[in-house]
Amino acid sequence: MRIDKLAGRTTVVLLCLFLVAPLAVVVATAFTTTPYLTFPPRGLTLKWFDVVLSDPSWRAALLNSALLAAGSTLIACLVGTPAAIALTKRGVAASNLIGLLIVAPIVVPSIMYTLGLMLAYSKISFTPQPWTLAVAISVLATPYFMRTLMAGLESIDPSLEIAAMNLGASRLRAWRDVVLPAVIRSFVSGALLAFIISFDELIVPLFLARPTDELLPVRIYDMIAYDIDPSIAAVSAILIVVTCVLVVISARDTKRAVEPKS
Amino acid sequence: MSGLEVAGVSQRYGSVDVLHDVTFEVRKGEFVTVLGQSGSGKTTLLRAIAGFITPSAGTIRLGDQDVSQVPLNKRDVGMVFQNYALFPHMSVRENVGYGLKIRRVAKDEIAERVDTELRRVAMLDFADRRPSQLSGGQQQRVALARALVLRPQVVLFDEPFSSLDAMLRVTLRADLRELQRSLGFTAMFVTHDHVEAMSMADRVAVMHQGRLLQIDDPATVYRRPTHRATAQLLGRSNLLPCTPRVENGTVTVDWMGKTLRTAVARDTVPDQAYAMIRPENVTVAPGGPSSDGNDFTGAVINQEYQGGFCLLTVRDDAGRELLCAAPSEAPVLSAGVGAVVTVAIPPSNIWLVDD
Amino acid sequence: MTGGRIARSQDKSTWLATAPILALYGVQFMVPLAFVIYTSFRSGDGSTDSGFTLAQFKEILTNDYYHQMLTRSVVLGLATALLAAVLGYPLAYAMTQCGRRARATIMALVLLPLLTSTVVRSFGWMVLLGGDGWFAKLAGPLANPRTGLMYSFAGVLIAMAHVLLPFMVMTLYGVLDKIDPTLRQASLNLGASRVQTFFKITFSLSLGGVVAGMLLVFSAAVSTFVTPQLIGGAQYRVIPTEVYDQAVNLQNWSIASALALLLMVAALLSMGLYTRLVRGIPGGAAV
Repeated sequence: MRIDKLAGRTTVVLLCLFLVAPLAVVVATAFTTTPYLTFPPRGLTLKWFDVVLSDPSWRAALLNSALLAAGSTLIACLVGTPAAIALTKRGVAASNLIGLLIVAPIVVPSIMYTLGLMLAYSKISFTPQPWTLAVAISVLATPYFMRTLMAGLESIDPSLEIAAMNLGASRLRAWRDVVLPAVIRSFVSGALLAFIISFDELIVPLFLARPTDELLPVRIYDMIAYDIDPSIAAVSAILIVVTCVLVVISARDTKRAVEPKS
Repeated sequence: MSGLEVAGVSQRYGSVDVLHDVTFEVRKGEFVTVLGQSGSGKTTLLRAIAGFITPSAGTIRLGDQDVSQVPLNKRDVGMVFQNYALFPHMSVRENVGYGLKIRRVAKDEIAERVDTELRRVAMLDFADRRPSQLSGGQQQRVALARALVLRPQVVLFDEPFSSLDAMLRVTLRADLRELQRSLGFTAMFVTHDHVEAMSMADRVAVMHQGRLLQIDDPATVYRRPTHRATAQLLGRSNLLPCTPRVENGTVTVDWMGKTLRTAVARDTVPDQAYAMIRPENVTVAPGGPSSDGNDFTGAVINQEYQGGFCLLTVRDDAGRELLCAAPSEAPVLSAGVGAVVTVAIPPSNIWLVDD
Repeated sequence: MTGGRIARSQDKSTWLATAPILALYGVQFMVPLAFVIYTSFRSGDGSTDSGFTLAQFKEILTNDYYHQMLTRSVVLGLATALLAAVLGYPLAYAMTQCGRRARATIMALVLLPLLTSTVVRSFGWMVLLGGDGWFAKLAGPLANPRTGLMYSFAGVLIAMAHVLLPFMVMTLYGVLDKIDPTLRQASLNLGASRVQTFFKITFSLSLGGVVAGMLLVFSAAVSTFVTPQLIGGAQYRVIPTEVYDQAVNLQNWSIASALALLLMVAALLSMGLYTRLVRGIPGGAAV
């Protein structure tokens, strides 16, 4: 192989390794037999996974986070679907006001947004409940959901709907028969993406959650600060693997949504 | 009885007249091709007939029914789209059966009719495939079957062959025409290819800048165009700017000082017009003296080999140029570029175009 | 197409369909932002409010401590952007040159970090940068024998570049992908070497994308909380960690708001420039 091609390939491989390095490390250290974190892991054991999965507080955190993410995703879907459909039909460009608005939560630093929520809730003397967290996080998740969905809607050939109507279908029927099947895939991918984003969100719960609302990212964060042991790695490893699976399922549609085009 | 009647149809977008007062009739079972360049309004006309758009003015009648206000999904008009518009998530069979399903036809009847139609377009073996697994020509046939299975009164074709290669186009043209004859449906076929337009049609409708210039059988449109644009759309020809006058009921024209006799019978002529001479309607011979005013002598300045014949550009001393065709084996061509030739222009082969 | 009537009813249904999201954003997004902006101009601590003032901003811009922190934030942001560009360009370029499978694989590898929790990613870096970590060993004498690259600029930089690398790669890939491949062929045909062609044609055409990507990464870098907090430690102050500290621990909401406002202005400016740039180059924003 020519020298520059070899150099190029090596660079890319190294960079790819760089990309996955921390994730691989986390997954690997979860198997260590030592009571402290070390890489490479010494020995192989599943005991930390066992610890985590049988610990009630980890389980509670997992469940709470999942419920929170589900709630946030639900809101994102309810709010984002009609908007996505309407905007695609209208052919709204990103320069349009609404287009900008959709991506605003991605651009504005979430620390500012979260601080603002804290100030606002304090002003009205309201202690945030779990559902308020879901609503707050849905603001962050909705843009991703909408962009996935809109990308899917935009990729549909417009003459298909007309063709169906020419064959006798009513407007609604044509939409149902022709547009909907193509869109379901993007919808599901968008929802998955929204779920992942919601689940992983740390800053909003950090500012707003009550100490009694055990949430997974916060718990991991706290433990890193105070009490590091391989169980953190085990939890993280589980999260990584699950995310991996979800990404593989919806790779194509996810790519279009997280593309940082404004 | 007319199959389709279009009266005074106009369409405005903002300040632009995309269609201007288009009126014509298509007889039942007739195959009309609509020829025009992009922007001529031919596709807009098709969409108006199908009901995709409601024209700003005019009426459209199907059979004896005014369908101008009938919504697009209730019109008995079949449409074959330029990009086929086959539903990607349905099989060929499901695509073709879609219209029948909407009309709540019984399942077994659907199956039977779909199979018959697919057999007719030779696509029955592909019935369970998806559109993405078919070639362009195959998709085209499925699109046709999907429209025909509903037995519409009129079938509209929006440049259906434009994305296919030349040889396939020729085959499909013949197939389609044969199918139309045997099934007897009325067809309107939009194209920008003049050979296609003439070879398939009972009549050719020529559209230019939103107006219908002429609708006649192919020979008439070719040999007796009413507008210069029509002549230009239908192949290469000479359009000589001239000053016509009437002498004893026939027209004589003055072409840059040269007088040409024609066999055109008219009472009045405009001050300025164009003499149309098709290259294949003249005779090229080696140069020599001539007493006939309709002979044109000049030098060959360009020679284009076209296969069966050659196109020559002949220019005389006064700067007049004439495009002529000669059979490729003609001895006069052996002299090549620069040779002096005499072109005989029979008066009956000169046509006067006013516009 | 058929006149004003249909266009107007389309307008109405559009408003109806976007009402829920506008309501959500209005209440849950705009209102908090307004609060922050408002609070940054009010004096008083915690929940007391003594009136309009610019004291916070004055403090931030003059006090040495804040000065240092701001500088550190900006420098870190710029360095991260630069490092991300250096690491990301080869990846993006490779993606345009390789086959479908390889491209999909790299894309997945690029996306994956983006979708894993920042906490998890930073945690992984803690292991790698710590005293025993491989990166610390790679860095040799640069690393502290006990804490490795942790709690240092270098450590935070590496971790941040990693976290934000996907953004850079995606931006660059979008731009590189749209470059007409025949341009390269034309250059070679005219006698240029492969290296010359790369620099004169490919790289030059993609420069806009590089700048755009750097703006994007810079904007995200100055706003990142988790990575500097975990890798840099409690002593390593950048704007987001300072905001958290001031707001949650010290209850200095005015200062926190002022800092957050500065942050937003910086982020909006960068993103504004990014959008402008990216629309101008082929392969830029197509939404």
